[in-house]
Amino acid sequence: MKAAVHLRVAAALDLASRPLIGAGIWVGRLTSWLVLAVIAAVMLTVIMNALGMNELFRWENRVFLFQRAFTINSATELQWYLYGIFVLFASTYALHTNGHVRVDLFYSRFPARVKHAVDLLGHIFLLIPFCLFVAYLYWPQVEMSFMSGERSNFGGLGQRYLIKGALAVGLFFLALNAFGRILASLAAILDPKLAEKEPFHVR
Amino acid sequence: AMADGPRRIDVASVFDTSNFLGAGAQFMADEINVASDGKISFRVYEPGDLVPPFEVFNAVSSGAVDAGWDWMGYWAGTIPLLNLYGALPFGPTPEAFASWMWSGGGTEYIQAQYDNYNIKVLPCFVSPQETGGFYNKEINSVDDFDGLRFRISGLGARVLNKFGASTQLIPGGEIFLALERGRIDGAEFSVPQVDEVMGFDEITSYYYFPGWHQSASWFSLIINQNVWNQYSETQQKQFETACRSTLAWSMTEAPHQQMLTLAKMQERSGIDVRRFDDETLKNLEAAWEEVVEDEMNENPEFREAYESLMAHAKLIEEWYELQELP
Amino acid sequence: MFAEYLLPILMVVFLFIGIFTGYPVAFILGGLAIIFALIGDVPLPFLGMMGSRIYGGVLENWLYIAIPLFVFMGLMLEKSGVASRLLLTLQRLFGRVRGGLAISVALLGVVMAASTGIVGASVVMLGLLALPVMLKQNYKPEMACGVIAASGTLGILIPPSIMLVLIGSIMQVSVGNLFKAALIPGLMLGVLYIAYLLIMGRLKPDWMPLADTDAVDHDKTPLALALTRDLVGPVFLMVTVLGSIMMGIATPTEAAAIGALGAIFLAVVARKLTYTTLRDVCYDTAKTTAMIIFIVITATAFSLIFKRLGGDYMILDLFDATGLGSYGLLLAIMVLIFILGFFLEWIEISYVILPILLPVIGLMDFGMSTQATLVWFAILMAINLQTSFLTPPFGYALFYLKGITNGQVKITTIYKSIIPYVLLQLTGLLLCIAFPAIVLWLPGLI
Ligand code: NA
Ligand code: NA
Repeated sequence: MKAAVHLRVAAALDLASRPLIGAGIWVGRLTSWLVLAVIAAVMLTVIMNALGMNELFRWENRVFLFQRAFTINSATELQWYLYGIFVLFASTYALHTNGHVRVDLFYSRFPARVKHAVDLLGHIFLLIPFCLFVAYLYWPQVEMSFMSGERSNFGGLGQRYLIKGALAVGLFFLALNAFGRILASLAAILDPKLAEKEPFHVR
Repeated sequence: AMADGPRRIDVASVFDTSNFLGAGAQFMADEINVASDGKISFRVYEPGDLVPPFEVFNAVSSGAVDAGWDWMGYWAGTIPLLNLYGALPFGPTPEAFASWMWSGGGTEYIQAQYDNYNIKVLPCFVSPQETGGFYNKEINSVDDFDGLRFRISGLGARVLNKFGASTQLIPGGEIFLALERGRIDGAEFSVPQVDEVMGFDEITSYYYFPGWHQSASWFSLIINQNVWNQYSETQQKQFETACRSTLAWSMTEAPHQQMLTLAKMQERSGIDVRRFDDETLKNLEAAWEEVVEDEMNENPEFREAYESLMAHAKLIEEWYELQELP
Repeated sequence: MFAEYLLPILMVVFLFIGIFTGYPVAFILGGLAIIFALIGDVPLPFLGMMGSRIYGGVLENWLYIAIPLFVFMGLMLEKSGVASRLLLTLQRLFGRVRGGLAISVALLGVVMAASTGIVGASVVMLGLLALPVMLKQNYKPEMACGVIAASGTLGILIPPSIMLVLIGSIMQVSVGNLFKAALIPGLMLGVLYIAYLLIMGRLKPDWMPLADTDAVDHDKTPLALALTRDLVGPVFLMVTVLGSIMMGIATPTEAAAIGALGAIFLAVVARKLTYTTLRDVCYDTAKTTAMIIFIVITATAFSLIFKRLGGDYMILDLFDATGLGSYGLLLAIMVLIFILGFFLEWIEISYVILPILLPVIGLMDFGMSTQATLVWFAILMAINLQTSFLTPPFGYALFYLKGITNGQVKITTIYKSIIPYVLLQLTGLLLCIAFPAIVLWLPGLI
């Protein structure tokens, strides 16, 4: 027996949502490990400071990111480059693991399909516009940072456009993932069987 | 005649208007109101109110904010030449520097750079020479800088690095804690009038002078070029009038206030006010000459402006020498 | 007035409506910012500042780097089992006192407050350490969450405090004086919490049950020995975190990293550090941090548009309409800040509202020196702002707590849990208003 059309559509939507959601989770897990790098960068600052050191290494030619020397301020700035990337992609990861705070006074009593409808509408009218507006309007700043060669004024890191760009890219990625969730929620609304499944089944 | 520009523009200040540095923005706001007969007014925003302080330049450039009130040194990461205006070690006095800015071509050098960012710059405020900073260790010779952990920015930091100091990037709000707990051994911040409020004297032992790393520092009104272009020529002149008046205010209001404040601090916390000895200063200056040579080789715009500034300052020095009374 | 401020009022109204749908708070804040910017015809370049605010205020903000590090430390401690063992032993130490575990948490909160200036970090740490143990011991969830959230927020009052540093520079009063002035009120709140716990232990014994005898006596080690054994790890951590700040090795952020490394070390010693543990800790750190920081990210956008649409003028107008004397004004300001604390974060209030109010403070006369008035006011403000971490719908402490409970506790339970502590904080505030000496004695301004 052939499934009803709406069920087939649901299955297709669910299938289409998977690569998006999968990518979000994969990237989020990967960047999670950056917290270890943050710890290492901070520890490096602590050690260099304790020893009253200013430079770890110095070399002849200006190189990518680290410019001409690795100073205590390079370590300091490295902390927030790493932390920035960590936090931005973690936001997407938290989207898929239901990590963002909800006031669940009524929500916890909603039937599964209503929960999906809330998320669907929210993503369309709130989350995605926020991400796209901010990312799009911020992009000229990223370009300007790239053109001007903006860098540390403290002998720290160069290429400020990297971390500025990460902001725009991170928000765009979040919007893309929210789109993935919209597909999944649509599928769940169409097919009650999908709705009954725990919607955030990853850890 | 050209149409008039916007009656009200938003000005994002990088300093609190309650302190002397940010008060300049409010002073200028009052002056422009008078000069334009009420046809131009500023709404001055506190730091972080619109954008975080370090984002003001970009925000003005992109037109997100009409204008900003800044310390020029903040943008040296984007325009390295600004190190010269923000904090130039062993530079000329505020008076000589101001003369170069308004009559020696100093403003044109930066405007040429700011043109790339669609910004009109009006240098309207100069702070007196800053202090040598707060220390928890005595500095008797340049050897004492070896391993010293000191909060300082810009070219002065590179001078101290030559003597083995670890110069650190600590944000304004965290300096107090870092100093109090001994995470750093010292910090320079601003002039006594501003330092006093931070309470650094209560947690450190020595307050050193002179501020060799920053003989004068410039603060300016930056305006998005598109906004600026909307103003008629007369109105643009009104901006300049208000700007010069603010500059005069900053130069006349500041010097005596610093001594009054210093006396207040000494009474309050008993901080030991000292001078670096001449030998130390001589060594610092020698190191500075190496740093500035590097900087000039690296950055031809810096060389041009620096040489112009120093030549201008020399004329003024000669004039005063000629006129000196016994 | 209503028509003039229609948009900011609607923003708040829709925020409430949105929140109760159960859609994530962070996304509602950001989305409403965009929608109202479009309705209010805010120019696009102005909207462009949202990105700058996020970059400059959140990503480039050093203080926030401490958050993932403290989260990591807490999670790692939990995994190594060190934390729960200490709490259990502490409870043995407090013997048969009802609420001994909760009292241990409050004490730990005071100690952590003295080591960091960051609220989020303390709440997260305490929560990760104590909540599982308290729930396992059948504490009423309200009881457990309340003491954790409240004790965790002590960190912004008890020096060192990032908030006092900021308030000091905004009000132009010495930060050193503020630190001194905040110490007694901060400790006083700690004492109030503990007194409350002792009383509740008598009144509602089943809200904080004693550990069943088996669990406690299961450990046959003599108490002194058990204490020594279980204290070694945490004391080692305390020494590394607190000590590194006290001895001037580290800033609070750096101390957090030292703590994180210390926690890894303890897990290694306890032979609990496997690849799986490390991986889970990293994953959970990412999720918890994102939950916290993304609210900050979108709140900054929300408040930008709220102000742009006249929200700040609305507040000032509200205030102008009162026409009160010194004490009347002070109370009105305190009430206003308390109410604003429900919606705004302390940074917004300090930076936006405080400067607006400064001229008003200058008008007030309480028969003390100007300096004393300013310090006193600043501390009252700080105590008051402390409640903003606890009051819904935006209480960061609540969100942090929710973030680490992994869905075990409903947000409404957490809301209920903080009511007594908000009342205690208000009691503390009233005491400081009635007896300024509590604030002014230590800095010698009396
Ligand atoms: Na604290
Ligand atoms: Na609140």
